[in-house]
Order: sequence, then structure tokens, then C-alpha cells
Amino acid sequence: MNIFVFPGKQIDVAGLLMDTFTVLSLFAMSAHAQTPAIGSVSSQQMVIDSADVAKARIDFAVPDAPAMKIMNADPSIIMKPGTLREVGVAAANVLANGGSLPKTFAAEISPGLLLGRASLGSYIQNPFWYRMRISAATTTEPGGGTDLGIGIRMTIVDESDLRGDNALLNRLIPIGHIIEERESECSAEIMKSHPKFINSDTLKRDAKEFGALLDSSLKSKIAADFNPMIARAREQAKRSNWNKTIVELGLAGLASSPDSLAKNLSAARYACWLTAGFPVLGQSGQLLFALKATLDRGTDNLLNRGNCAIASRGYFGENGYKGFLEGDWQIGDELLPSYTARLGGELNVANGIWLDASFGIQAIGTGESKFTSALNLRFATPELSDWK
Amino acid sequence: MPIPIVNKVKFNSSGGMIEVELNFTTLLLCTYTLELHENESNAQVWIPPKQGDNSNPEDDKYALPVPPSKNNGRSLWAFITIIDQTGSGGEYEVSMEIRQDTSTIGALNTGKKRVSRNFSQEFLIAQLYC
Repeated sequence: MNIFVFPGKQIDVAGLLMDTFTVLSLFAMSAHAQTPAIGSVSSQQMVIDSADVAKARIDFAVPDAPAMKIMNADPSIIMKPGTLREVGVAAANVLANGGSLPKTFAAEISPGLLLGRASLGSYIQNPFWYRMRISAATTTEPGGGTDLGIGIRMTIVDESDLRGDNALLNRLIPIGHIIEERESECSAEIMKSHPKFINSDTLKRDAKEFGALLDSSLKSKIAADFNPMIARAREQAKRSNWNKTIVELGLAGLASSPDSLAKNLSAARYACWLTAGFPVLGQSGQLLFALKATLDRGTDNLLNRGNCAIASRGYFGENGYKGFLEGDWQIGDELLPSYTARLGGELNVANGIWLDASFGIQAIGTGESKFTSALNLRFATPELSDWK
Repeated sequence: MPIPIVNKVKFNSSGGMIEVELNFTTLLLCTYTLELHENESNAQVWIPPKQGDNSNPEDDKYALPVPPSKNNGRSLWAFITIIDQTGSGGEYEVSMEIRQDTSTIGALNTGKKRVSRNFSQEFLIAQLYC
């Protein structure tokens, strides 16, 4: 599978991927951007109309892929959880690279969706296998070396998932039945006014003609009423679900090669993450707790250098825009303990486009400290519903 | 535009009970209303019609009136609504299978389609004869 991401063309790529891989989630996250230039943001200006902004607010944030996280492209140790997405997600570190081709790519897929004949009933009954995602990522080091990451994400709890959200389904199911009742009424009226359709042979032969009559009869009765009703029910559910309880476990391995040859790859790191998110402040906040453990290749060239970290992040805001405050503590072999405090925000800038930025200070060992920053641009296939 | 998919289904008048089952291959929410119409008429046999959805593991299977010969000329109308509950779109495939005893005697299928806007509609009609 090849993924091509060009500066300024990400939406086209996402759309193309959506058509080709309907159950594929693609991630390519912006690499850690030290002190990002504001000018580079404006050089990536995107045309956003007000309708897009309105729709964007019902989009969930793009989660992290374990295969990307193991590359430490982002200073946060938290593997941000997220509901399984059927559609492509793509982004690039164009901001960090001043508009050049991005160096880091990742893809995440759900084998349960790709290989199985998915049904909503079985998904709701046993979502674990459907939600399990496998990711792969690659990045090119400045010196020409290549890193390859492979990861797996397991969602243990996800109460934010709209697919099985009972409250939402209970609102939508009666709407579906009303649509069907109206369709039935319209069909009966057409049969009365065009008795030829009562004969099934004629109906089969002239199905398109019947469909056109049914369509015009339904248009005034259905589309105008039910499109906004469905979209609003969904929007309300997304607004109330964004901070619901979610627990995810991620495992990943990283192999490095001093050049671009696959035969020279050798294991360089293993990592696991556990992230749990809980709602706080009603629908206005979410508290994430995270654990991360890694095993790195040490100076003796053995995979025996252990590190662990704990972190917590508090989100405050709404689904579409929220600020966060994060703190972490890391300790490990051959490393001095470090503490980081970070402040940032996530903004759904347009339909399917997320921007997250943060800055912080990291205190290492006995007093040395340094500033960290990150600016990530993430892309998800835009919401499809144009009900306005 | 919900263009009806129409098929004739032949059954054995002296055979066993006829059953109809709807199958949904999708993670989108699907609801349906299933009507059994008298021969060349809008009059319905099932009052109220059968309604259901794909959000539960129960079979969407219904038995037609017995003896089977009663169903000669009747037609099954399935109105199906496919709702995009996540806003991300997605594909769906819906089929209606008609069985007698343990054999499938007829099947109608929408084929694989992508939901349009917030919801799509499908309309399947099976004309029964013996």
C-alpha cells in the first residue's frame, strides 16, 4: 500500500483513500516541530466556509497510532485514544519541513472491518475485535537512516462510539420507520394513480419510472424533514459523547536501519501504552490518565534499557475546540528523572482538519530545564453530510 | 432515488412454511418495514407491518401465513432506511432471502452501495407464485 501525501493536497488524498479503502485509517502525524513558525501556518492556508466549520464541530478528534507514537515524533507520552474511524486519516509534517514532502507516514487499519462481513448487531455485541487496529509507520532520519514502526491498538472500553450509542440509535430508529411509512404511503398512491405498476412484471420492467415517481413524491415529504433531524441527533450525540469513558492499550515495536535497506533493520525499541479517559465537568472536560513503558537498545547494544512514564491530561472545552493541561513524569535506565508540564489546545479548524499545538517546560534531573513545543496537523476524511 | 428491486419467487404450494429474512452487511444503522400485500392489491396481510432494525443480534426473520398456497400472488415489500449514524458515511449491502423448508427459493440484493447524505432508502419487492 502506497500513501502519497503532498503539501496542500491532503484532502484529495483522504478522499481518494476513502473511496479505495473504506475501512482503512491512515495516519501520518506531524513530527515534533520545535518552535514552529507562525508564518508556516499561514502558508498552508485552507479555504474554509462557514458551513464547513459548522459541520466540523461534529467531527471527533483524530487519535494517535501506536506505530507513530513509538517514533517519539510527538513530545507527549500519552497515546491519545479515539473511536474507530472507517475512513482515511492523513496528515503530514509539512509545517515542520517548511512545505517540503513529509518524512513520516503511518497507516492504521482494522482487520475486523477489512476482512469480516461487518454487521452492526455483532459489532455492538462484540466490538473488541472490530476495534482492534494495526498500524505501521516509517520515517526517514536526517542522516538517511530509516525507522519502521509496527503497532497494535486495543480498545477495551469506548463509550464515545456512536455506532452502538443506544441513546442515538433510539432517536434514529423511529425516524427510519417514519421514512418507511411515508415511502409506503407514496408507493400506494403511485399504484393507485398508475395501476400498471400493480403487475410485478410491469413494475420490474419500468422500475426506473416508478422510482422517479416515488422520488418526486418523497422529496417534499422526506428530505426536507429528516435530513436535518438525523444530522442534529448525531451532532448532539457527538457533543455529549466526546469525553465519555474510553480505555485503550497500545503495543508497538520499532526497527531501525542505518540506511534505506530493509535487510539492515534491527529491533530498536518496544513500547506499550495504557490510556484511560473519563468525563469531568459534565460535557466540558475529560481527564486522561496514561502509562507508558519502553524497552530501548542501550549503549551496550542490548535491548535492556527500560523507561516508564505516567502522565495525565485534562481537556476543557467542547468536542470541536478544547484546551489542555498535561503533566508527566518519566524515569528510566541511563536517564535522569524528568518532569514535564505542557499547555495546549486542539481545534477542529475545518471539516476533517484538526490542529493541535502545545508548549511546555521539561525539568530534567537536578535542575536543567528546556522548552518543548509541538504543532500537529491531522486530517480525517470530512464529514459527508451536507444537510444545511 | 429508491428504485424498486423486483423479483418473482416460485414456491411449492404443498411444501413447508415460507420464511423471509433480511440481512444487513454494514455498520450503518438500518431500519425496515416489511409488508405482505395481497395479490395485485395495496391491501396488506400483516397489520401492522413487521418492523425492525439491525442494531440487535436477533434474526430479522418472519414466517409467512400457512398453508403456503395462501401466499400465491402475494408480494413482500421491504422498505429499508440506511442511516449514517456516525456522519462518516460507509457502505452497505442489504438482502432479502425467501426460504421454504430449508432451501432458499429466492433472494433480492441491493448490491454494495455507499450511503448518501444522512440516509439512503432501498425498496425490495418479491412477488410470490406457485
